[in-house]
Amino acid sequence: MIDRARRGIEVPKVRKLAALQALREVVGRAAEQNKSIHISTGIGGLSDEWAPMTIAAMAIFRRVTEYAGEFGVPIKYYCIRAHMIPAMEDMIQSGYVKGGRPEMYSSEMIEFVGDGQQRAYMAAVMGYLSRERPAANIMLGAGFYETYIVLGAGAVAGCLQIAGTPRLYYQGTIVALSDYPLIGQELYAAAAEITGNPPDLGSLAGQDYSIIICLILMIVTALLATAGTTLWSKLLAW
Amino acid sequence: MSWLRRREVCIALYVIPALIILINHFTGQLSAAQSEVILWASILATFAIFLGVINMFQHHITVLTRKRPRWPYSIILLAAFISTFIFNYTYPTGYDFIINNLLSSLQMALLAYVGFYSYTLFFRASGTKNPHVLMLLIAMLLGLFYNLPMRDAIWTGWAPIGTWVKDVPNTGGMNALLIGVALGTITLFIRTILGYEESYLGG
Amino acid sequence: MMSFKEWFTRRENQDRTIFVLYLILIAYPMLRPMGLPIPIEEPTIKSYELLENVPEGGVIVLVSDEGFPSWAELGAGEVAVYRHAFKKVREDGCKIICLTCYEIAGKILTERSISQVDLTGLKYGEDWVQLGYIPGYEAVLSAMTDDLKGIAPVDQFGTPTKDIPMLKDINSIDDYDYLYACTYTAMDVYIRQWGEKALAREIPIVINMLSGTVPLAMPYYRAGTMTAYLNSITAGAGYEKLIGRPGMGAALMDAQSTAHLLGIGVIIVAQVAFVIKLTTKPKEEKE
Repeated sequence: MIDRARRGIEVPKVRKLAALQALREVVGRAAEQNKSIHISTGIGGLSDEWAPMTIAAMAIFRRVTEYAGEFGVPIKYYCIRAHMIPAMEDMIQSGYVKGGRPEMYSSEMIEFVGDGQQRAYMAAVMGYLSRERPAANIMLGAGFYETYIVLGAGAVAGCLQIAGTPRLYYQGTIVALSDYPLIGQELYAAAAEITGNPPDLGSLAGQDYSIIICLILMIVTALLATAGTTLWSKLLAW
Repeated sequence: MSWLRRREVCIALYVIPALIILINHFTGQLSAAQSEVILWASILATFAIFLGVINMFQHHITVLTRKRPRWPYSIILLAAFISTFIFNYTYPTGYDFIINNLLSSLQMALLAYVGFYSYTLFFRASGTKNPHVLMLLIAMLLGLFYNLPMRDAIWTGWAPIGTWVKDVPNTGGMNALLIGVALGTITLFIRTILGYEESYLGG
Repeated sequence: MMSFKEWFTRRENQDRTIFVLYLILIAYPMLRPMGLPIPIEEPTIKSYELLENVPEGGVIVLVSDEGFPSWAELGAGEVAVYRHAFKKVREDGCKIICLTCYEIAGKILTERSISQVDLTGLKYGEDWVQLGYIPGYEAVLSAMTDDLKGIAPVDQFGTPTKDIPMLKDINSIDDYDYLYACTYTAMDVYIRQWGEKALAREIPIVINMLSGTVPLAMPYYRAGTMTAYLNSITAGAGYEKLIGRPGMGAALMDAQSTAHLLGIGVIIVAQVAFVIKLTTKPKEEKE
């Protein structure tokens, strides 16, 4: 599907994700209110099993930083993985440059709070949200239980919240506390959609076809197991 | 040496170790290479912590020198960092005291916030006619009753209902999310390996 | 002076009221225990039986990856399991390997758990060994199934593991008889690294986890990849009851009951108030 999309044979159309549609509006509203926005990539970094979630979040934040540069909105990012500092510094700076406001970027926008120190991160973010009351709180990536804290503090501070994590434990929290949730794999889909590149969209179609194949396999296996045949499920287990 | 800064080199630095680990997982033929790659990653991550420490000192020294609001907290943070660092090497008893009596208590106190925010979450989420949120609320209620230690004293039916909710709709939903997320992760990995995903490179 | 209704309509006052109620309902039962009943769930009984059925001389692996914040929820179950495991050492000559691979707090909490166990007549190095904190998390969990001494060349106290008598014939998953992990983060990590190999050798995997992660564990439990689990403090109190040593879990059960009742009350009251507001016509409309 990636190859077909790249060659222009079949570029799939993706349904609109409300969170992505709202990104520009959210940053614009922050500019009107003369407030900042807080972004978070969660606890995961680029060197652990949550790297894909962080990469997907960074793909979306690239666009957010461009909007921030366009509208002149300050960004705040608390960094919990030391190796994310240069990547995020580069991304935010490039965003302001592309948005036309390179002078707005400051290295103080990225603040390191301790490598993997979740509680320090929680304290820092809670403090920032309750003091500065940013217009928006965007939390994407590998969220752990600081998701409760960050979204809860954001709700108390009255921020508009966009949140999404594929981590299964926090789907309920995201739905209940954020204004624009991205549930489960929608984060990956959003990362592909935001670039608009045909290969990225093609990969989404491939993913959906894989899900359909899994569904068919599950239904067939369930029917065969009900009929008393275990050969099929043994084949699948192999 | 400017070729080192080309995007292709950066992508290769990501893709090659990933492929080594993937190939070793399925064939077991590259275990020595995998061990080396993991070791290098650990060493890099450890050195990256220096970056973080430099960033932290930069920020807080700026706050102190320019007497920005809340500058006393920067003194407390820097003093805590330096003393803990020194105690670890010179005064183990003091280090143990800091970890066991200060750090653990502070961490437990911060985690307690999760409980408080959960209850405001219940309050905020309630009071709605959105059918999806109503379903979530009903599931929350059933879950709360199921986990209530004295549930049998109220009604013995909570246990079978809660068990059914946990075993049937919850397991089904979790399985679906698990499969979807796993496929999404694989797709993102394929995109990254093929070089279409470059967000991890920064700007 | 504003009325209570006006005061309560403000968001921060609603939050403050809920926080104060929560504080009172948690603190009161801890100061004056009410003795409410402690249920014992089926997975808890299964966890107990699995450890009880470890054969004589069997090897029990205890991985403690909880952190300080989760000690209140997981500590009761952790201490109860440690007490049960050391009882197996005394009665059936089993061996225990303790390690941590997520964060260093696990090592400190392992020591805290062991300090609450009766070690009379037991000898370190022959009956149990503490490998301490081995950084690497998932990589360590994977490697310990193939080469334990490779990832832990020395124990927590600096003794080379090849010189520890107990570990002479123990090095891989083929030598283990029981795998236990206590975690306050992802539990699927343990299933990923241990599940297949443990299932093939019929080695039980028991995971002590936070109640919020139990729903995610259900697919693995139903599939049989995770043999049993302990559902945070409720299971901890139940496990204490099973081993006949009530402790922290039993003490916190009353607080858990009252806290849950508050949660139920908050949801019902908020929803009922909303429905009443919707269905009650404003006075101007009636006139």
